Amino acid sequence: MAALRSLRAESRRAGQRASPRGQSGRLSTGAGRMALPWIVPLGLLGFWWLAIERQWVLPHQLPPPQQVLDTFAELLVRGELIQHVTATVGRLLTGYGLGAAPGILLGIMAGMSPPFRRLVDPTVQGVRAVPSLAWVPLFLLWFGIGEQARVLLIALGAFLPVYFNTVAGVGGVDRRLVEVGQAYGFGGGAILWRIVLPAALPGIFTGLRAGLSLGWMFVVAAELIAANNGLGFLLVEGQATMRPDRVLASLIAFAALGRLSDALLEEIERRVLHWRDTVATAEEEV
Amino acid sequence: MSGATIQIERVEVSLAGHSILRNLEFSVEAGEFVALVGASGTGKSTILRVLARLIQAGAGEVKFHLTGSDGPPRTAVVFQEPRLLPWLRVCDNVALVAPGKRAAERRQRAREALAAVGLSHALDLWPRQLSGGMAQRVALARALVTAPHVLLLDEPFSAVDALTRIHLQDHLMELWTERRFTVVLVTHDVDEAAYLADRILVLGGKPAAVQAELPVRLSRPRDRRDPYLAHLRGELLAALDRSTVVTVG
Ligand SMILES: Nc1ncnc2c1ncn2[C@@H]1O[C@H](COP(=O)(O)OP(=O)(O)OP(=O)(O)O)[C@@H](O)[C@H]1O
Ligand SMILES: [Mg+2]
Repeated sequence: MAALRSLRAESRRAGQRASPRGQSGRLSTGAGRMALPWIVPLGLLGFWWLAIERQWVLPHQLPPPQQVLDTFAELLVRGELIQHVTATVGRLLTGYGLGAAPGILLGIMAGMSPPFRRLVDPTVQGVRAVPSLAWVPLFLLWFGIGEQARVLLIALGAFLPVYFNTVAGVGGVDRRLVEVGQAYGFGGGAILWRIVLPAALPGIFTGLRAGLSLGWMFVVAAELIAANNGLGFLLVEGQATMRPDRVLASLIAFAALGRLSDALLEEIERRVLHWRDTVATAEEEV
Repeated sequence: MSGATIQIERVEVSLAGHSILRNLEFSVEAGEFVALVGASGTGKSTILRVLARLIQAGAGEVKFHLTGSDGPPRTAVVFQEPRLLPWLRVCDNVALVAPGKRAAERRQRAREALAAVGLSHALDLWPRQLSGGMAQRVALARALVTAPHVLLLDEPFSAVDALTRIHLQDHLMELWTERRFTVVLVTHDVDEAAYLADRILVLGGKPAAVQAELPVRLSRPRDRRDPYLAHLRGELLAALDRSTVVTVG
């Protein structure tokens, strides 16, 4: 009985984890810590305002900050912005889905089966060797200047990192964990679903996030070259009509959407992979 | 619940071009508790891997037989490392292999198996939050929850303190007495081998084979302070010594 009691006590102690918090220096205390990230952007904003005040730049090159804000608000109120954002996000999501899904699927197959990998890997490597934007003319020739070409271009951009990271993730699964499944009589499906996939998820998420960021790159490329709506179109149009305020407004929208989508994916990743032993998750547990 | 017999006949295993086991011969009776001892790197884990059907013997045969059944017996392994799945909480790690149709039923069995190794309070912890000894106990619970006919243990108590070890050994003994599954236990601890086993096989040589066989002639329940165990310990160490000389010579 004594043995059992000490056993429990030992386990309980081990269950708690020490959370060493860093000693705060001067800059990391409350207000100083809050202010730190704002210093550079505010400084840049001040410099921007100063450059216009002192007429270092011409207004048709760089409008004052206020005007950019006004344009942004106007685009928003008139519904123009929402229309462009919808177009851009719509084709991004379609292309991303069309690229990421086969990326995961083929990645798993290639990661699991060496023969399949030898079959497809060299081809995918070859495709990757071409700088991705070099595909644009070919896509336009094949699919015409239309939605299809744009979406497929984005799909290609998203596919590559998802595929490669999935292959690496599946290939890197600890063989000893797979053995646990084998030793307990799991079939191939159960091993894939219960062991290989969860173990490969961190790699797959790395691919999904890289794929998303490439997807944004490709959506801009597609819209710069051939589109009559979307944020990329807003960029080109702003350039053609000498409206830097509209160009900047579009850049702001891109930045916001890009950050938002990555944060979303990051949050999903954090929830799905909260079992991981990282510094980021070590403190919130227990 | 009962144990299966194991028969190993002239088994040979080569790994990466090296012959690890050659002419390995031994058998285990249904419900027998056999301990395997031998120097580090001899091939003890390899034997368990063959028994768990994780590697195929290059030659020879491994036969299992379960009275009243044609199918292969259920085997469960506790590996040398705990090998818990890091993305499942302790209870789910055990429930994953537990028998039962419904998830709630499997979880219930997992809770019972974990309670039996003194881990009722750790059900919701993540593997990374466990101490080495706790993780080994979870691995033991995972093996026991499957109600195996053959239990393969690879140094399952190497990472726990002396007191916990004694408790776990006694717990294993209780379960074994009750269910009579067949056990093959690999251990470096000669006292553990002598206290638990019906028979001790000393492994040695390169490639490895059984060098000596020591029956433990002591009725159960056993007393750890029994002078016979001390005597056996001496014999076992001598046999280990001889088997290691074989390796060098
Ligand atoms: N996958 C492998 N490929 C090649 N050689 C291996 C492999 N696994 C084990 N070996 C070799 O087989 C031999 C036996 O290994 P094994 O793990 O069975 O030893 P062991 O008796 O369990 O040792 P220990 O007591 O240290 O756990 C060792 O010499 C080891 O180097
Ligand atoms: Mg070993």
